[in-house]
Amino acid sequence: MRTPSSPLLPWALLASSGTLAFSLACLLTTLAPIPDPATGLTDLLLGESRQALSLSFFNQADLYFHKGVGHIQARADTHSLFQRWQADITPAQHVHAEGVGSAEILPWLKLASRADPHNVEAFLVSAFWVTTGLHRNDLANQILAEAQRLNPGDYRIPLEESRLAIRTGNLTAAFSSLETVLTLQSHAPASIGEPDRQFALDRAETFTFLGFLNEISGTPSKAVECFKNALAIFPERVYIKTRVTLLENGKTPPESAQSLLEKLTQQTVHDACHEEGEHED
Amino acid sequence: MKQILTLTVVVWLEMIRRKDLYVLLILMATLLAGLLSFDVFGLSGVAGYVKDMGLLAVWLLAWILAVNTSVRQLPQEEQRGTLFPLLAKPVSRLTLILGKWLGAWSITAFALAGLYLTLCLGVFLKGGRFDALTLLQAMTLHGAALGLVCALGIAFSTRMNRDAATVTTYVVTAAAFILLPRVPSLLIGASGMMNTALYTLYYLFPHFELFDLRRRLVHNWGCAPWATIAGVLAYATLMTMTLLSLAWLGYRKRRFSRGDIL
Repeated sequence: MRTPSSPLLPWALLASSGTLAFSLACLLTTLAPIPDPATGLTDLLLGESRQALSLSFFNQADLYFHKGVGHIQARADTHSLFQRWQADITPAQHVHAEGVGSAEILPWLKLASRADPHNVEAFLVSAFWVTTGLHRNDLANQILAEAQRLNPGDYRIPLEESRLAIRTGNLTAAFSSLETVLTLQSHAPASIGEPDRQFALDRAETFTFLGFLNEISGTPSKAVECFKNALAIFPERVYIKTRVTLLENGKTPPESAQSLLEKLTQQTVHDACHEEGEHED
Repeated sequence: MKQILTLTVVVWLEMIRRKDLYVLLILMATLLAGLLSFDVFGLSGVAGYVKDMGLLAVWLLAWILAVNTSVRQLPQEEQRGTLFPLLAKPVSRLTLILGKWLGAWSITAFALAGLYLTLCLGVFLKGGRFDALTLLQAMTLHGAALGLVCALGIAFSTRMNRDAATVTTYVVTAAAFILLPRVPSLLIGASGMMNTALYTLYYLFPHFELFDLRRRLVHNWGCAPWATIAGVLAYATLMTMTLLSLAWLGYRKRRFSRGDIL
């Protein structure tokens, strides 16, 4: 049996559902938070997941540094052909990308910093690579300037700039960058609970660099002051203690400040890998 | 054999009509154009990321094509009703399965060659290149893996409708590719039933990770041992034959009636 229906019913339904949808949209748009106009497209599209994406690109860069060989994982020996074939097919030697080959790492680091512009580590590692792997200090300066523009309050960027300036012999620029580091560190929020070891290490490094730079510029009293500040953070550092004693007694330390500064800043990519304890040997 | 080849040609003709291959190549070219336009601090000759992402795209696109082409062959014949004149020719069900598989695999392999060619062109434009012999090994193994995927798709489609077979083939192949290489790591903490279950999965499912030479190719590690390549190819052949036999077993006694289709 067919139920009688008005020909106007579909139109009435259409009008009422349209009006209802429009009213809801008006209501919800007033409730939803308005996005910050400064928010970039990446932020808008990815939200907080951009950090995970950035980390993934960063890990990919690490994989490229080791020429596609990932970190070794514990696994059971299944005594199967599959495992033997897998071992034959998948490269497993611990090697590092070197020289021009190290440039292959950079796209991933750039993608990491694009995905999350606040991933300062990605900028720092990029700058480190273009300096040590490609010997392109100009490019490193550009990368660090970009990082500074996007993260003006992060002390790690001027610290890296100071290392770069020391390596290139631009001691005036190094001085200026280290002063900025101290200013930014003094404005850094205090860590809750466990003290931030990296922060302490970086602060001690800043004072040590400043100490050596003051020595080079002929102001030993200022140098002693800086070294003492470094010792206040890590009192067990014997070589600084000895140096302070010598400087206070008006004696010249056996190893020059210049050569010590060079040693401290001439870190290679292999050193970085060893520091992270990635080598089995 | 002639009947198998005739069926293969029919699959090819249908694929040409559907224009899937062009879409895949256009997608690949678009992706490569995006990758090539990415500026890496103005440095030239940095092509590793193009190889890496390009190969990932080749694997994904070829996988999608292999699954979609293989799983639709038999259900499509049933749905259209063309299965009845086909089986009345007479064409045996084994011949039908082999013809459909060969058609799906040869089309996928052809598309694979096109995708690799496009990628090589993109890498060359970025100032990089692939090692020729390693590329040959990678393509051969990749082609063999796709044969396996097609066989799996055909096997599932003998007992399922097209949509169910598509989803199942995607899930099984993805799980095998991602999870099976992790089984030896998982075995460390496993005991008893879990241990047995993991070993069963490890030996039962196809090991797609053995066909993946992307790392060697991208990071210039050179060729894999030829004996291993031959071993993996033999494994692929045996596994494909097993899956096609399973497909035949599932299809040979299956009854069709026009009423079900209409």
